Amino acid sequence: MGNKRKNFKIVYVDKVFDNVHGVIEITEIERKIIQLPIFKRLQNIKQLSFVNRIFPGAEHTRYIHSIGVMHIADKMAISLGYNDIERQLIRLAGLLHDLGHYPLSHEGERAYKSNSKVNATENVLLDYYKKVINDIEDDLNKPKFEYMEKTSNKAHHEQMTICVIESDNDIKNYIKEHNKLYNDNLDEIINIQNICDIIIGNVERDGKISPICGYVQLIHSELDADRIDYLMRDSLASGTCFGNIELELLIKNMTRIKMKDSKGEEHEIIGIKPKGIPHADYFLISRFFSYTQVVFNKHVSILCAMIELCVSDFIQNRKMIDFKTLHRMVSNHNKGREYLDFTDMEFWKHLINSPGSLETKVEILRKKLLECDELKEINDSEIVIVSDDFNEVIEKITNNELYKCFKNDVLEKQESSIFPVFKNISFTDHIPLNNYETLIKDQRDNEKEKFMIKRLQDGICVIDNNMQLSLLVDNESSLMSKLYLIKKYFLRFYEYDHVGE
Amino acid sequence: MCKYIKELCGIVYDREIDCKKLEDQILAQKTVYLLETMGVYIGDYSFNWCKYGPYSLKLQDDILNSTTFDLTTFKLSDFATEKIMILKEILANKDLSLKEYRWMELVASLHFIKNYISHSSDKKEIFKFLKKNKSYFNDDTIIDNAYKSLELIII
Repeated sequence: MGNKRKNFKIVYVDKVFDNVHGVIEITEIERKIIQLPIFKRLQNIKQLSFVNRIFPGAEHTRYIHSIGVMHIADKMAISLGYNDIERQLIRLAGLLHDLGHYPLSHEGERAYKSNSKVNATENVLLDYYKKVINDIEDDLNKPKFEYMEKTSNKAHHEQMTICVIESDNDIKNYIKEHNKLYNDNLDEIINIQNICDIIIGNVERDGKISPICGYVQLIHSELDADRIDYLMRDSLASGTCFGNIELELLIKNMTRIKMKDSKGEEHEIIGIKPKGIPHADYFLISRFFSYTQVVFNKHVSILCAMIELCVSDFIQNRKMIDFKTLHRMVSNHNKGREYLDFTDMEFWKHLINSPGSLETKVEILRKKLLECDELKEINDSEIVIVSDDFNEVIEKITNNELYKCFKNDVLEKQESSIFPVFKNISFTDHIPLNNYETLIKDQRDNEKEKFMIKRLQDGICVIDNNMQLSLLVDNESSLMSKLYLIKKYFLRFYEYDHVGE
Repeated sequence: MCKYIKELCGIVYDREIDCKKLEDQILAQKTVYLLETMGVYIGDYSFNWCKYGPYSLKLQDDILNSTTFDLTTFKLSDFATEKIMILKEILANKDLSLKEYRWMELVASLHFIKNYISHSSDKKEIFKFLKKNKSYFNDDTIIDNAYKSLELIII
């Protein structure tokens, strides 16, 4: 009986029917992971929390989104010429990338972050009001500059995902057993460390840009499989048209090169060919509209704010566990099923079972959510501005009578009967090279170079026929070179007065 | 983004930091890094490995623009207070030969190397990387003491 091992090749053993991408085929290890309770947990976390109240079709979950991300990441990997071992790694990272998501996705996450923040008070409403003022008066004028980076905050859902994966014995064993079956040194590529780095956006290893930086860009950049899947999926489910991107052409026009740094070391940059610029522009523009029309819809915005405040209050009142306990629960999730139940159902349980125990105004929000109702917008109060000048925006908002009244209430009475919701979105998070260079001018030369490479890895990079690299914002063939400064701002005011009658 | 960097450091170090001084910038960077790794939400900061260890460009911008220092209006959450006490404990373990910014740099760097660079619990590997990149940390006993402090950094 020889211990015969074979060379690794992607072999599909099963399939999932997806309303967005059609039939998605899966390999043996993926099938095993999908069947794990920790993955099935995602069936109970809606991708868009309460958006289905306004766009009733938006019932999709993190479960199918994760499978969709795996599928798109693999399409990219095939188009870019990665081998089967690399593809399997990328597929697994896509599949597992949302494993640590909070109940109600980002609304739950925001509540946990605000409860573990440095200056949180016992009054969740006051904290919320102060954050709105801070977002408008302090944060709008901050320079926005992005580069490939990982979050260090343990409450971020990506860090939670890492925590789930690293503490999950089943996933670790499946990968170990899977790798043993083949001749190739699969462990070198398909391992937990690489999966976690891809998910969190870590492109550093031993103080240098790591060899897996190309794979990271497929799951964690301005044009990644995650963003593409949620744009297409959210659009289809909400019934809007913003997901009709040219996916095939977008992927077909992706390419990769090895960029040499001053020490002669090579770093992989994934980008698009010049022919792909219109498709990349269209993707960013579609994403912009998906946010302005769906996520920032006036009803969706208030519902999401109401949920966030209810979750915050549940945590504050020790109905839902605090972050510290949650982290402990995640680290030990193999020992019980508590974390498996930490889904949207946990929120609903407390929404139904917590009458009269919350802060008065949060209690109003709780009742409204239960009755499929929401706070009413104050008539003609909405401020919607499209501008490339944040000073103009700050001036307009701070001179608005309702805003002044709200701010005055907060500063003097530490409460307000006005409930504001503030949102803003830009086409791209990247800024032109000259502005970026100014921001990193004080760095040492080798660090400057690292930031420059990471900027190209994070943004949508155009790789021209002469192998010259530029981000869309720096490429005059792209609309982004003109649109990067433009943002859309929404400030809406709601009131409690018509509530609780 | 956080506008309370000076207040936060004021509470940890019992003095007002000077955001123009490199030593205090390092201190602020490492303070925020260590608190964020313990789950305290301060801002959307991401840290990369730079000359003095974990470093955030966005945080640096906030540090350089910190002007106010008003401890009377700044209230810490219970969670943050608990974690700041841990930082104070780490500070209390400081070797007398090191200045506080160097000690915090050492602790934060060891944490970053362990978790994001070497991905290893092998002390030798971690120390080797540290010494290769920061030759001014050359006393194994001091490095070892700082490494032991990492045990305090839990959520």
